[in-house]
Amino acid sequence: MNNIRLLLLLLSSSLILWGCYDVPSGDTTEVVNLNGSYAVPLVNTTARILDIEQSTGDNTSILVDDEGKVTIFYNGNVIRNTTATTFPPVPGIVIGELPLPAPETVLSLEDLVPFEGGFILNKATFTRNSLQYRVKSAVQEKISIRIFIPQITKDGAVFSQTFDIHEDGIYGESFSTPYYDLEGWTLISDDNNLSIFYEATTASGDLITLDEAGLNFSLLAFKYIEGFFTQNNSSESGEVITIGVYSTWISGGFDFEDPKLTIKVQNSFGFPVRTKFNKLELTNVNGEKSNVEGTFIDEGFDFNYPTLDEKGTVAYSEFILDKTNSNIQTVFNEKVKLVRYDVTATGNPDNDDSIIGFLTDTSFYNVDIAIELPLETSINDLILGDTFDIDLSSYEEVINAEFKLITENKFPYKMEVQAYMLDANGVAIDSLFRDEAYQVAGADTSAGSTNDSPTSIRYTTFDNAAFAKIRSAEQIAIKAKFNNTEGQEGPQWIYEDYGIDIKIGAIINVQK
Amino acid sequence: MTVKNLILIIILTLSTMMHGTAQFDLIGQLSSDHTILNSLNPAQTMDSTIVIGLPGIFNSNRYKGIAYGDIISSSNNINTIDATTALSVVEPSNHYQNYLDLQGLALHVTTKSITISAGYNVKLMAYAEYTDELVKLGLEGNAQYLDEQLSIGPNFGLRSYHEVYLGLAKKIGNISVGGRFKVLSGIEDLSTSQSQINITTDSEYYALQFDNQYQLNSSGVLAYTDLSDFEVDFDAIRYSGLSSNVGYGVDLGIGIDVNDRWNIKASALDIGKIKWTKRVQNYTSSDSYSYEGVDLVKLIKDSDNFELQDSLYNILQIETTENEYETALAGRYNVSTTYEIDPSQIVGISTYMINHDGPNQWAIALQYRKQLGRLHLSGQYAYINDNPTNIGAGLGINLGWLQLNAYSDNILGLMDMQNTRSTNFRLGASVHL
Repeated sequence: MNNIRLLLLLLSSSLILWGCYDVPSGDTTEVVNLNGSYAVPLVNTTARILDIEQSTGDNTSILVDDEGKVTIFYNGNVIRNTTATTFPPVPGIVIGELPLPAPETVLSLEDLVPFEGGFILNKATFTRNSLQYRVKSAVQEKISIRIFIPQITKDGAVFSQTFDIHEDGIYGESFSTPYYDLEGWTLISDDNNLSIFYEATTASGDLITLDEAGLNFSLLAFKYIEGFFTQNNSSESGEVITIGVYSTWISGGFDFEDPKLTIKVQNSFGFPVRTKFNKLELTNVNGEKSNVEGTFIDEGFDFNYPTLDEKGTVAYSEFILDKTNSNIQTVFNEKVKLVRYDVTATGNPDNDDSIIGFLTDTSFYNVDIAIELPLETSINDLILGDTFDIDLSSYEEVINAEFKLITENKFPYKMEVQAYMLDANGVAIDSLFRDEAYQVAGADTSAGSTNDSPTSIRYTTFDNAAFAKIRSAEQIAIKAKFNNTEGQEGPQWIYEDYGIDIKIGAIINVQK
Repeated sequence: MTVKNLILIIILTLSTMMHGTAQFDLIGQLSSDHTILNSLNPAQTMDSTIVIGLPGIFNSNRYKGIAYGDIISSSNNINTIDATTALSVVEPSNHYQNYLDLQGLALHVTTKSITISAGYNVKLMAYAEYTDELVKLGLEGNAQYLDEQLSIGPNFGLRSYHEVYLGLAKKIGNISVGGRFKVLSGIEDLSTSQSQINITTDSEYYALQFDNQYQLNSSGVLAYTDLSDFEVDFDAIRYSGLSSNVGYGVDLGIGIDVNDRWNIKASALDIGKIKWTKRVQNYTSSDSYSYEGVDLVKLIKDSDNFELQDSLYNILQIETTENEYETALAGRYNVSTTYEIDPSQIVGISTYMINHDGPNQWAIALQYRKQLGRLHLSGQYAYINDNPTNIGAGLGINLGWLQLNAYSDNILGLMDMQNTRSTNFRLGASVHL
């Protein structure tokens, strides 16, 4: 009995002890009396002019010269023409019955070879094609036939085939030969005609005239053509170049000293080509359109081309529309954002039959059109701006925040920056720099691209009420105003090392 | 999940992780049950031919710094954490330790002067060590520590394993020696092998510099994608066979009967390690990294959206590997002495040291036991680490064939475990044939 009582006492003591320890098992956990101050870096950016421009569009390229001066190119679509476009291979040409009785047929090359406007072909080398004959005779004997084209030769040999018909004793049906390869065979003609001869001999040795004769080209394509090509046109229209430099412009003067439209041509066709602008229209940020006027617009310009002695090479040409030969500076500085052009390229524009030209199966011409913008600019109260989405709604526990902005300006322009918090309707709730806009002095670039770049530090604080006010902001609109620094009036070059270093940190105070 | 919340979660997890750990077992040296004495010193022989140790439990718990009850209160299913209190009680170095020994069956067979033992246990341990700088960073922020390096890397572990042992104790004259060889099988583990995370906030514009040598190893516990997406699933007591995550350990002991009344004992327990091989993953952040804010130019080119939290999560550059790793057992070392005043009274001094993955711990106790018939009552005053107020008590009952024991090194602490800095308890029973 005593043992059992002791055992029960021990067990009950254990249960009492366990009962003293009760682990809370709440569904949620929250922190109270929290007063924290958290310092975080927000932004660390070194934005050079090269980075800024490269971020504004895929059609942009940058050139930096030996002195570090920057030029931006806004590139348009390339106009490209090849032999395949000018002399497309013609599949399956069937020349019908050869006229008889004389076993000689003359074909006009102009009928054979499609070339707009006509041509006089002196020489052509076949490629990737073959030739088949088709004949028929009512003579009920075996007939041996030889067909030859003296104007088509290769290594001194004349293009000639010999074959027999009616060997199988079947008479009165058309006979088709296999295709005879023409690769590398050259046609030479001085009268733009192709003469085809045949000799049909019976088994008994008599020369006969065939009832029908014809030939098929599997594909009419040439590795090389030489001759006179009459005037012909190809057009490219409706192309657009987008200019990004004014994409954030709001107001003020931002003039370029020497904008250009450059046309660079690569041409391996062996005959002259002239390009003429049917339209060169510039549209500004307000949607207004203006036409560029100048010598090249009125008269067009001729590409360089390789001569007969320069077969296989590429000739280069470059044409520039600038302030010396057009009104492009005046028109461009109206804040151009689009360039639309419509050009026609004309082969042998003067139809000069003394010009013997050539083309090969790889001949081409490329026309690259670009707006060239040397960054030598004048700025006068220029205001640029952009708007970004923001979301501060999740920072409910933030009671105030202090932002520290450190700026090192390597541009020769003084800046004033302000940012506005906008609500869902685009209405400004508050501004980032309440008392006055953030002002940054411009760099001293009087020594050229080397410069003394000032550093500016600015604090801005949002107390409890102010932070509560901007918590509903959905966008931030940033505006920056630029002006030349004192003593640096007139257009200034922008060098590749120009840029702006921005560091932003914040101390965020949280209370709960 | 914000970075601030992430830091708070780390702090809270450490605060609540299994309520303490300290494997001190001082007053057990006075137990009348030889199975308990044998568990503390393998040189202890049995007083019956066959002794069966019944399932029992031993749990110890220790805090230094923030205790659970210091900062957390509960009402209407909401746990509330008081940041002000946490900051006032946090110490430069804080730790939490908890040890749970679920004793299965044990069998001791004694013939002549040799006792052969075999048994099975499941052991769980949790520990954490962190600095006040981690707490201050989370609750105060870093703005007042510009240009100062804060050490915030927590060192922690969460571990469970099976233990099967075979032991031998032999009395030779007045000297007893003994040992146990243990085969271990890890259940699950989550622990750090390197724990350096240093953060410095630059005063120029608050750029963050991290200097890390941090490695967290997991065997079946952590599913990690990134700092904003991870899951901890600790299935502490689970039988999945004994063939995975294998380890070995030994316990050694010696006892000397100086004379009929005076006895000196010493033991070294849990010397060994476990090799974790199953479902292993290692998460390492090493080298120095900095977060300097967003590059606006790159942002404009690549994306329209900016999330500060995403940027911060990405700077730690955590590398994931699947390499096996080892963890050492928490070695325990004890030296004690008892003197029999008369057949019903014993006094003793016991010292204890634990060599842990956290800081080493030590304790010393003055002990007294009185036998009242079948009852054995024990009392103790102990100084455990920095805590001088530990009053221990024990109760043993000897029914002849059945012996029952319950004791604690800090009986008062059991009444208020949420706030006490250190306590433990043991419940055990054995059958003597």
